[in-house]
Amino acid sequence: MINARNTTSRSKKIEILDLGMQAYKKSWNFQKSLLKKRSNNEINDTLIFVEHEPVYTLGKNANENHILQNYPEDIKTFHIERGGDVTYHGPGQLVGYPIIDLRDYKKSISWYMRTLEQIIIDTLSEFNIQSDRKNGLTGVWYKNEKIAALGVRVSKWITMHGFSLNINPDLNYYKSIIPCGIFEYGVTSMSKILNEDIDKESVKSTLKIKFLDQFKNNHLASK
Amino acid sequence: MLVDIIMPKMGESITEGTIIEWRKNVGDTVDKDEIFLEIGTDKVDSEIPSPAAGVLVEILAKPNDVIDVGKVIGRINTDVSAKSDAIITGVTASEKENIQEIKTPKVDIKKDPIVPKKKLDKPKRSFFTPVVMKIANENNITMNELESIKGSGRSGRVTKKDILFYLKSHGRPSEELNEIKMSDKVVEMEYMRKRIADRMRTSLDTAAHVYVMTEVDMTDIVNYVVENENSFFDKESFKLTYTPFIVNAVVKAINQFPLMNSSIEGNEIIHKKNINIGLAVSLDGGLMVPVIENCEEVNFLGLCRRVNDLSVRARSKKLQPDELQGSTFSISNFGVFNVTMGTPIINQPNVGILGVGAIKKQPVVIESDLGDTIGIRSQMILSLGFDHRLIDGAEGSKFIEKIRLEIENMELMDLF
Repeated sequence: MINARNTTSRSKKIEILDLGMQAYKKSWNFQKSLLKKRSNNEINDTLIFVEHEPVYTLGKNANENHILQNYPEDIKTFHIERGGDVTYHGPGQLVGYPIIDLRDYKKSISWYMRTLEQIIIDTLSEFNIQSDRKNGLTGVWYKNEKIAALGVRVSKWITMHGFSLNINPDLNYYKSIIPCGIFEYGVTSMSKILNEDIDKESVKSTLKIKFLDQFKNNHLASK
Repeated sequence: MLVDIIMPKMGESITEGTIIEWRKNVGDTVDKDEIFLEIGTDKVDSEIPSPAAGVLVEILAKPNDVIDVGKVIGRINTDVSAKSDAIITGVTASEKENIQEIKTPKVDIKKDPIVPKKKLDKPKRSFFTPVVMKIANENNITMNELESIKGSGRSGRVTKKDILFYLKSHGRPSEELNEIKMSDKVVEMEYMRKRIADRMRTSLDTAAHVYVMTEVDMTDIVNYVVENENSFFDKESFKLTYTPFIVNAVVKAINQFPLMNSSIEGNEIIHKKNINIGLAVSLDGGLMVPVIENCEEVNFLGLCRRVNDLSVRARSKKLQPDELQGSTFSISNFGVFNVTMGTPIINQPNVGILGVGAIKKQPVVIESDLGDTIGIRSQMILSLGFDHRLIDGAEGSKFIEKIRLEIENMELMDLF
């Protein structure tokens, strides 16, 4: 098939980079540099895994009032360019930033968001957690509580930002915000649901497999 | 040639998007594929590249506007990409355009006769001076309208005078002439306001609202509060109010009519185990409905404390998000604003809400063995809003009657 784009076709390889614990600001800049490289076709699609120090991030449409007055003063807040409202990142939370050119899969952000959700749902089910979507509320939910949040930016069909999955973060940090501007529903984590410690590395490796499954199968080159 | 900027479809099942930001202003030049617009959908912000090179001549959607996919949100003029070339060479853009448009149908007519026909219907004069564009923009004049204005300038070009005359003669004085229009203020709704607007609309669209009202004699409770308010304040450091009495009566009534403490999900009825009463609390610029959980387990003093605690913290915006979740029945006390009676909207996913009116002294007929007399009593009107999808009139009526009996016959001596 002839690709209408004047770029050379790339391999469907997806790189996985695990940055470990990394300052928010630093990995944010790193994402931006990868996005640029990706759009210049210098690198393959990449999935970044990272964990952050405690921060609150606000999307473009976020309402500052959703950080409540009692929030800990030492915690940094960042106004960033993803969609969505306020969220929390911190230790015990697995953050994933896919830098993906959607033109190689499907030019559809709804497909992309549902795919990210599916990857997390599939990952959680390997840990015997039956999570689900909630109509109209992007993210992954366990009963009435959110376990994974999504917020994405797309620039000429290349993605940045992504998802955060609560493995065992200190959920108290969520008490100082109205996560994603949703008043009625709470937030949970894998270890809260299972009432046991979860091995972070096994979550990463499961998620990695599910991620590659979904994206490789949907790559245009495999159709 | 004018190129329409269309609200892009960002994915299947996505039918609309929100304009976040225009990176270019009217009059700016853009390159093809240069990022010039940002739109938001779902939880994704997207940077949109320009569909063509030229000058952005028209912006039809403002930031925060929610626009259907496929709608025109702006226009790019591709003829003036080299700025004022057209003027210098003496060939007006409109002439160029006409030549092009006569040619195109011949080529395209076999493929698709509809498209070129449309184009022929509206010959375009595509150059307008920046001043004219600015005035047109400020006064919401569309390109079509602008093209319909007769120009008095060189080659029929529309001058500033022409457009101001047009505005005047069409009853749309330009902004510099219209003080009233300028004094109208457009303010984006606060987040809480948007949420309230959404929730109220959704509730009316969801539940089949019905109301029943009843009058309740509050005299005994009023006397009790008057007698005990000082000693209560000394002990608890907050005022004894009427709300806990009403919550108390509602909880007892729900115990007898548990269906009022349920919700509807699809075709299923969910019977809630605990009684969690949502209390509407008015705040600056909105309202919140904090929830008193497990009311069936709390004694009267506990109720007083929790009602007080929640309303104080709601007003100082110190509530935790989880304290706004999980109500099973709600109460709205507009009586504090001296209103006699009201019809509150059900707080979803509840199936009932109790509206509480002001307590007012009224002449009332009192029946006794010695005959009927007229006395002065402290009366209050309660209104019960319920969802007729689940609760029928008889059930709702019995429920509000039970609340009345509970209030009028409350064992005041055993409260504390």
